[in-house]
Amino acid sequence: MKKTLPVEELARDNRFWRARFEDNFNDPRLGAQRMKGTYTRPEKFSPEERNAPEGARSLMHGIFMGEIQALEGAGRTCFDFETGNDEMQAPFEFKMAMARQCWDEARHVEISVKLTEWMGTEIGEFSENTFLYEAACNPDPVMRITGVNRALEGLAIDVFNTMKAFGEKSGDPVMEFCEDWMLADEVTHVKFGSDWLRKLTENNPERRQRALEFQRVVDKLFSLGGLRSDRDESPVKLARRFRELAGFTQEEIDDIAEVSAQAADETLERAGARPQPRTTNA
Amino acid sequence: MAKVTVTPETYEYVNFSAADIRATAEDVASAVGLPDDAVVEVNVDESEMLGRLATAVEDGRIVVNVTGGAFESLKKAREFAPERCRAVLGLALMRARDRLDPSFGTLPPDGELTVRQEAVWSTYIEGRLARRGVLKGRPQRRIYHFRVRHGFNDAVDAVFERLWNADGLSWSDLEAASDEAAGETAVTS
Repeated sequence: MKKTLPVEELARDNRFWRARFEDNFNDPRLGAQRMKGTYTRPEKFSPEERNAPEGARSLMHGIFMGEIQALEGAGRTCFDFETGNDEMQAPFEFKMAMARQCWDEARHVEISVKLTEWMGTEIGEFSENTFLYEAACNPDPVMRITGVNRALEGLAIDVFNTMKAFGEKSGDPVMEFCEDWMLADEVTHVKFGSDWLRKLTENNPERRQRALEFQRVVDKLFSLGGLRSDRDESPVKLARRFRELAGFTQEEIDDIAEVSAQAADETLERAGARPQPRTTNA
Repeated sequence: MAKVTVTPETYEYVNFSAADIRATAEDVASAVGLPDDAVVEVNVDESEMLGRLATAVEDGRIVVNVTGGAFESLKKAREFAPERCRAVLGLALMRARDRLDPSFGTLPPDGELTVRQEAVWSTYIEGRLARRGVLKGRPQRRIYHFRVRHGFNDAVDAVFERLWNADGLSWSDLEAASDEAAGETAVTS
């Protein structure tokens, strides 16, 4: 069996279509909106917003695809590294944490299938972005858990918290319960990341610093152009309390707020809209 | 057959064909029962990624302003999705048909519709489109939209069912149905 399976070889049937992140990022229509001055900020997830139900369907399909990749990534991490305590090995207890995560992710896939059916979405209706699995291909186990568990599963915390609130506000019991249950598991997964980042880099501050830099890059790149930030107008809000429970320090949460705000401003600048004053909502 | 024009004729940012959009609009115009002398203008804003639609009747002409995002594949960015184009034009032209029908009553312009009004009217429209073969089946997506706007309970679902299977309703019937559904669990003002 191959170690570190390339993203191109992930098993998908013909229902799925893979979108390239760079294609979305470089979509020329954003430039056209800049020229015409017609860019509009994404709407919040609220029953009063015109595009909220369609936005929710698309977002939850994206989460469904992310759960599949998280299962694949955690499974690969159990297999890709030799068991041991050297730098490029993975301790047995770390692999046990990843195995438990596989169990959770498989359950999340099942929950997401039911939730998407409830929302009227077909499996494969929207494209798949493979950035989570790609982050899970890093050859360094510390980078993997930092990029996937702390950055991308951290983003999942923000999304689940936002969508749970959307379920509550619209009176949707299925959405509310699904999000609440998955959110609880995500906090655990992010905490795996926080705990193991500290343990594995205990005696190597330079390695820890590199991992945190990698997380910063991933956090900024996948703030989804400001879709997720600490600002009131952001559709997906930074879930500060849940991030504290997941082992983030206040300083680290403030740093994510800052890189998310930068990503939001850069998107607005590319689209020709005026950036917001640089403030965060603590 | 209705006389349909599509603007623009060529596209810079998306892989659309005006001829495909025109052919779809002609077919859908017949299916929804627009008269043969109907004049339909479809204006596509290809630079807009979000799906948006507004239909108006101006001096007897049916004007459909639609964003490229509304006709775009959900999987392949910037590619044309024939089934989405058909569904969106079905909605647009059935709205026009209702607006042209004096017995339907007077209603606000598309841009002034509340999200609830849009949800009840779309349910009533999509039910008729499904029976005319423009849409396939009954999309669970539409029930989800209706519930988000009115609430998640059996009374709301019963109103949805009634609207989906209805014909010959007026705007005031739709408003009354929306109020009835929202009376159970109001989520929007």
